[in-house]
Amino acid sequence: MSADGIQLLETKNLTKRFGGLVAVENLSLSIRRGEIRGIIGPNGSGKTTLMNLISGLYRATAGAIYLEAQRIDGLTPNVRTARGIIRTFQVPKVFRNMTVLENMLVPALSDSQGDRYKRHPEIVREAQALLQFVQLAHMENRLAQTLSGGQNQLLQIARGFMVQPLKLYLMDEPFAGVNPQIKSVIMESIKAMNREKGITFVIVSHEMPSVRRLCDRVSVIHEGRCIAEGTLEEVAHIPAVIEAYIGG
Amino acid sequence: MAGRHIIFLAAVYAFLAPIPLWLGEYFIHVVNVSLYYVIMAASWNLIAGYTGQFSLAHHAFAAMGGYTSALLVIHSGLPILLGIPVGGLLAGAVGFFLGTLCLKMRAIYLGLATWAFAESFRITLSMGYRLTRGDLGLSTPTLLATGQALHYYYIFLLLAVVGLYSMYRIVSSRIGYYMRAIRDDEEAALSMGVDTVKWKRFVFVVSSFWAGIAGAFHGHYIGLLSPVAVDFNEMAILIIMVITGGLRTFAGPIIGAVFIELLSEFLREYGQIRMVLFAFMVIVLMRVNRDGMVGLGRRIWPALKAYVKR
Repeated sequence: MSADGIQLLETKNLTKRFGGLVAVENLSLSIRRGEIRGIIGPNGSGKTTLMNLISGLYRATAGAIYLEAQRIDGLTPNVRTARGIIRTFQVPKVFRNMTVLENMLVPALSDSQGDRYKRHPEIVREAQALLQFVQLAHMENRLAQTLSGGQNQLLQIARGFMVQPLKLYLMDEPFAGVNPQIKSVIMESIKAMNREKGITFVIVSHEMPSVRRLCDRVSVIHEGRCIAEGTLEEVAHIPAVIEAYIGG
Repeated sequence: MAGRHIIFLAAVYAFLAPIPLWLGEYFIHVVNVSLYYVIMAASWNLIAGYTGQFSLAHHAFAAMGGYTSALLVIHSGLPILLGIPVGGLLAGAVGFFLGTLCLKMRAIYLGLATWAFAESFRITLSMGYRLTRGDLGLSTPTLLATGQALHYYYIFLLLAVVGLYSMYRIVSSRIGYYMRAIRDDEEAALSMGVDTVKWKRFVFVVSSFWAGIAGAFHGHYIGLLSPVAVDFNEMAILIIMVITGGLRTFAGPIIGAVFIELLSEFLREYGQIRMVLFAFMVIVLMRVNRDGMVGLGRRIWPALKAYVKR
């Protein structure tokens, strides 16, 4: 276990079984602070399960997860949020019967933020500034259920930025099914938050051009195991990766 | 700040206090029962409307408050004014355990589990003849020496104003955000840092507490408790009230409870046929106006304003 302060997140021999099915097997990852890491792999390779394990929605069958050298795999998702981990979902999970602005306020007012709720006007201003940043400001009073799929994706991403301190942002297929304009807003917000606030991102994506533009390194997951790690160009030439994608 | 709130509550109370001046004894009684249902419907709306936990045991918590208070008063000589809060607290405590038991249940499973709890409680009341007098009903001491509905009206009104105000404070605070977030997507709420376990339990406790208080006071007003109060019909009427008024709105259950109770009185001579009519009304509402009377009002209001301006 690294304690040199450079590693933000580490998983050690992480395993998740659903009955007889092994979704994640002995998976060890190490993510540096400030990194944008891509997680790629064929469908059903265990990427989303990995996100669920790190964010706490699933309990690991075996193995350990460390954030800043502290073991976190026994913590509930809301406590992990308090430690600085936030996530998005492949199918955007917004609060449909709440307005866009109310959606933004939920994480900032939540238990994970201690007594931050006492600074309500300040939180509202922060939310409005973020909505401006992701070009949803004109919709702040609209119910989330009236937004398009792409706008909901933007909203759930912007909502995550409301958490303080935010250390690790897990994104599950943030570019799936969104139009090029929204994709570009999402990319810009990831880059800006990484650059300006030093937030570390772990991005699961099938969208290789976006992964290439954003990610410093990628980890290739296949059948629940990490089969390669490096830049996208490096892993693209590894025979095991080619075989995982093409089959054999 | 607290002073302003007290003045506001006092003003609301003073505004509603003269209502019985225009009513006869019987209709004052109807208003009293309406106020009981206002507390019941509003507190059920907390859990079902705001938090999305479709509990079908709310009427059982009212009966629990009623029987607890009555039995304590009868057997231990506890003053009624102490018995009522004890009834509320016990209902709240049982609400905590039921909420804990049902934490992982959603939708139909939660409904079934809570309904099973209510039915078990009803059967226990029926079978515990020695203590509860079973289906014969338990005579309960009344709170006031006078049987006049007018005097009870002022206490019911106080209870309703305080109860609704406390519920309003909850839904308009950050807890209201948590409740609505849990209702819309519990997994997302959890991932956004909301302690969903804690707040679901909290809402179960608050909601059951107010049901217990209302039930205990109702028992000491009517002077009789029986397992009939835990029949599913009683729960159904609460659901009808909330849906008719407007689920997920604060005013909806208040309007719906008064409307349905009054309508129920006007249709009394039709007996159980009323339930068929109410059920039909809910089906129509679900088809044409899911937001209930509050939603209808919100849609009509702008048109009405425009018409008046012309």
